[in-house]
Amino acid sequence: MRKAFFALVLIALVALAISPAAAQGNVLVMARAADTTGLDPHTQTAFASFRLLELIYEPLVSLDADLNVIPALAESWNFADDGMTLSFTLRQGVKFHNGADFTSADVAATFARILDEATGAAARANYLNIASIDTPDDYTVVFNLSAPDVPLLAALATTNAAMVDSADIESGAVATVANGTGPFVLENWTPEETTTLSANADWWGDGPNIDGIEIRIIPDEASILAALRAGTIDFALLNDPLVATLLIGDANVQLNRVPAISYHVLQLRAAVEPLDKLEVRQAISCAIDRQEVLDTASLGEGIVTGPLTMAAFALPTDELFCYEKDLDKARELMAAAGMSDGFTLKVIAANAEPPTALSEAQSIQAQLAEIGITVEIESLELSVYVDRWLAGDFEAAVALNGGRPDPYTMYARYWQSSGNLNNVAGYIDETLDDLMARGRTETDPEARYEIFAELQHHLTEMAPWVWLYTGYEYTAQLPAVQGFVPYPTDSLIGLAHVTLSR
Amino acid sequence: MDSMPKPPSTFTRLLRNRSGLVGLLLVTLYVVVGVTGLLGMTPYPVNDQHVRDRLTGPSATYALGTDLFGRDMFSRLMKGAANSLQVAVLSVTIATLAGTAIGTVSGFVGGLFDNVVMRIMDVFFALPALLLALVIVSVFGPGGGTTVIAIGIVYTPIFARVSRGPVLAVKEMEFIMAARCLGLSNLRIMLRHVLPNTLAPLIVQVSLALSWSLLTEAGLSFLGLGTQPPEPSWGVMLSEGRALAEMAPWLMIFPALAIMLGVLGFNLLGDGLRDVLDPRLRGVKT
Repeated sequence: MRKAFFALVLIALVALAISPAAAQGNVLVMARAADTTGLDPHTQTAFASFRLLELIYEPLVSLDADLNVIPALAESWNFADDGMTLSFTLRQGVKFHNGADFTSADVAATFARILDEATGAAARANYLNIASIDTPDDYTVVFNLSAPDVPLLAALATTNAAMVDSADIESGAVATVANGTGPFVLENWTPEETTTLSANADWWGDGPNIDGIEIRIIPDEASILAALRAGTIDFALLNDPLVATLLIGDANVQLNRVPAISYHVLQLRAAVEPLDKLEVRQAISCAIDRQEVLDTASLGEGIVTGPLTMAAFALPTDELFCYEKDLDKARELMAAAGMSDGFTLKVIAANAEPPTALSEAQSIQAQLAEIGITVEIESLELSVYVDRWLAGDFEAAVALNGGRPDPYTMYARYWQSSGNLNNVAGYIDETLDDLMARGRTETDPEARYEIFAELQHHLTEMAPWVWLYTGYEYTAQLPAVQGFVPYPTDSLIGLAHVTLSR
Repeated sequence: MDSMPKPPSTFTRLLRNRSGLVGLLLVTLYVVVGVTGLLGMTPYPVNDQHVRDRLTGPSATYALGTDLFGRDMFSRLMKGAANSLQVAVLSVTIATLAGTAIGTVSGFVGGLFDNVVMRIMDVFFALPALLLALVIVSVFGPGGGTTVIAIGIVYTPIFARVSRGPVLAVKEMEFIMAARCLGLSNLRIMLRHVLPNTLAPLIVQVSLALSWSLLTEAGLSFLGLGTQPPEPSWGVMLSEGRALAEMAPWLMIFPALAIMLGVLGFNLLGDGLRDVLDPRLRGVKT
């Protein structure tokens, strides 16, 4: 009896402790499931890290909601006619959060850091054509290139190329100080719990119109939803379509949905038997009804996609190889490969990242059974999955891979023999190498479109991967939050412009 | 003079015990459903996806509704019972055999050996069961075999302890001394004379351990480290249904109910058995 009483008291106390008071004041309270994995903008690769660091740090250029390159810390830029130099005019009067002026010296120091292999910068491979950097005056920067590089400009629009203070680089403090130029200043970071940001009053842009942001980490998205409905948070970042769709038609919570440029894909490693046989890979591609995977795993939240997901380069899927499920053809292909009896295919999937991974794997499993392929699903914890994925230690993998606004930058890592993730992709041929090289240097937009259209036809026909669908990026907010613009890259930079009216 | 009435058998006494009776009924139901599922006598093949009928509620066609893939929930629950039961029985068998052997030998030999062995058991005992199972599964990778072994290891110390206690008491008794004087080997004494006397608490412990291992298996599967999809397990089904709890509550309610009733059944049976088998409570109305 006494035990039960104490248990009740304990439960009440815990409930009190974890139910925060309703959001109030002019500080936006936001919740998300995953925390940043670090504060160094150049080395982070997790989506969750970008969602915080993009509020604190800024690159030279950024992307608008239609994925066009727009000025950020650089006001304007110019490619020389021969494509061998790219010069920027910097915005004047910009200050770092510690009060230091932002000048061309910081740009030069930042890129020296990114290009230094010892830094382990995530996007280094995209900037290897930068041969040297000149700083004629405090507000002019000239990149001298070793080869014409059209995708370079768009490749700069990432938090992985954010500007940091040269003094921090010298003292080696970049990973710990979070000293950026962005609209919000990091006040406090308690990993896996809360992050407190205050508004940067000296920000060059129009905003922020709120006093700050409090980010709470709530690992379970269903709980985030409950907090939003209860009004204890104003804003939420959601990943699970099954959770997000519950908000459709909810009168008190607004759901923001934008088509994502990341893509769900079944990666086949053509480097292992029997996936080294073209017919086997094609048979798999022909046997999968991509819409059915989308319908079952994501409740139809998304669209079936080819290799390129951004509107400017995406092809109508009926043009692509075997996007219409064709079991007869799949069986013929299996027979041609001498695999009429089928085989066992081991597919790895991460437990909850994306939340739909295991469902996608099960839908694929049921569909491939129709052509005699027995799929064995290995559900792995995320960190184990990432290790094995990076090492190329798998036959097939269900993955959600990030997209980029430029097709070259999106696939440079995978579909070139020099790509740092080509081993993960598990397939390469001369056509791919050639198309990617041409796509990198071609300046005429129409010719570039044709090159990447050919790339998509070639990729779907060789079927090293089976591209499935793109989902939506979800955020949800109370009506009190006004003026938020969602981005297809899932960027939260729109928070710099929101107002709160309670 | 009337002859003494024959004392009722253990089984009869179990039936008269309220929690024993309810527990026995639930466990019987569970075993029948599980065996039926194991033999494949389900309304639908468990992994067949009826994509057109996905997420339909309970109806005449699908007694307990369908899941995200249009798989029949009732069939999956039946097979899930079989899978959980298999894991539970196998792992408890491992734990019972290993634990009893360790406990009996350790108690019988005594001295430093006993001390060392039991302190090692204490180390295992100090770790929360689910945590220890998680560690073991993470190290060796998920899969049916690992789950069984992990749960088996986790519950071994309990059996070692339970069997050691009575051994300590029994080994000092005269009949053991007599057996020794007759020149019987240690092994024979342990098997023929000591072990039978520790049986009652062990039987109770087996029933209770079955309920825990059922829960641990469900927990591991819920976290994605137990039974691997698409094979149904109550834990997996619960985890799959959780995200859809609002849209399709039956996906969560039925597996949760199944886990609850299964665990309750073995627990009540264990309680009942304890009441019935404890000589001190014999004849006491409960």
